[in-house]
Amino acid sequence: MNIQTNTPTEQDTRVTEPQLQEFVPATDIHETGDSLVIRCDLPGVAEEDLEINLDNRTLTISGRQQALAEEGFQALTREYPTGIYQRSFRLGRDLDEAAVKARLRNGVLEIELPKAAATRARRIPVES
Amino acid sequence: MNRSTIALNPWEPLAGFRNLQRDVNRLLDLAPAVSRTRTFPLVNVFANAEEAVVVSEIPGIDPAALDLKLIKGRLTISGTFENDVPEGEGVTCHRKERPSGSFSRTIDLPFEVDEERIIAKHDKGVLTISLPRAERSKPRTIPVNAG
Repeated sequence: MNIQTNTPTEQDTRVTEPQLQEFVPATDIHETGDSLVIRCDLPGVAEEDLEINLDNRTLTISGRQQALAEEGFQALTREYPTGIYQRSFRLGRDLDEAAVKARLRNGVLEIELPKAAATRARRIPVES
Repeated sequence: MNRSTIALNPWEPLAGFRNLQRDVNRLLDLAPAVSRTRTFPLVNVFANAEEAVVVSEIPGIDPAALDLKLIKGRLTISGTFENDVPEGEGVTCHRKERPSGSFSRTIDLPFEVDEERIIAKHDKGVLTISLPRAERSKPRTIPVNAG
C-alpha cells in the first residue's frame, strides 16, 4: 500500500483500462477527541493494488479488486461485478496530515488522521 | 399550413419527467452501492462439471463470526458484524454506510455436493466456498447396446 502525500494524483492506470467499473466504497467516519477515523469497505483489494493519496486536504482512495479467475467455469449467478473502488474526501484544516496512518485488514481500509495538537480536546485541570 | 414548423416543435408532454428521471438516476449513481440493495451478502455462483464456487463480499467480518450451513442442497451464509465504532463521550459519528448487525442468505446449489470436501476461506473480505460435486450426481454417459 502506498501513501503519497502532496504528489499529483496518478490517473494513468484508470485511463488505460476503461472497461473496469468504478464503485464508491461504503464508508464509516467517526471522530474521537484525538483523531478522525475513516473506514472503507474494499473487499478483494490487495495492499499492492491500493493507492491512497493525500494532497491539499483531499484524501483520495483508489483500490482495484482482484477478480476471481473464471476460466473453465460457467457463471450461474452474478449479483455483483468487480472493478475499482474510488472515493475522495475533503479534510478539515485541523488534522495532522503528516501523521496519517492506514491499514488494510479483512477487506476494510482504516485511515486514522490525528488531530493537530492545537485542536485536540484537552482536559483542563482546575486548580483549587 | 407549414408542416415543417410543427415538426420542429413536437409536443412532448413527458419531457419534464424524462429530465427528472435522468436527474434521479444521476443521484442514485452517486450513492454508495451498498445502500441500493437490501439483500446481503450478494453472491456470485460459478460452476463446472467438477465443482461449484460461491463467492461473496463480506468485508470486515471476523471469519469466526461467519456461519455456513448446508441443508438439503441449500447453502446458508449467516453472520454478525461487530460494532467497530467506539461508543462514549467525545465520539462523533459522521457517516455510517457500511453494513452492520446480523445477516443471513440462503442460496440453491446447482447440484448435490460432497459435504466432506467443502472448502471455505475468507480472504481480503471475500468469502470463497468451493463445493465439489458429489460423485453420484456427476453426469454419466450411458452406453446404448445394439439390439
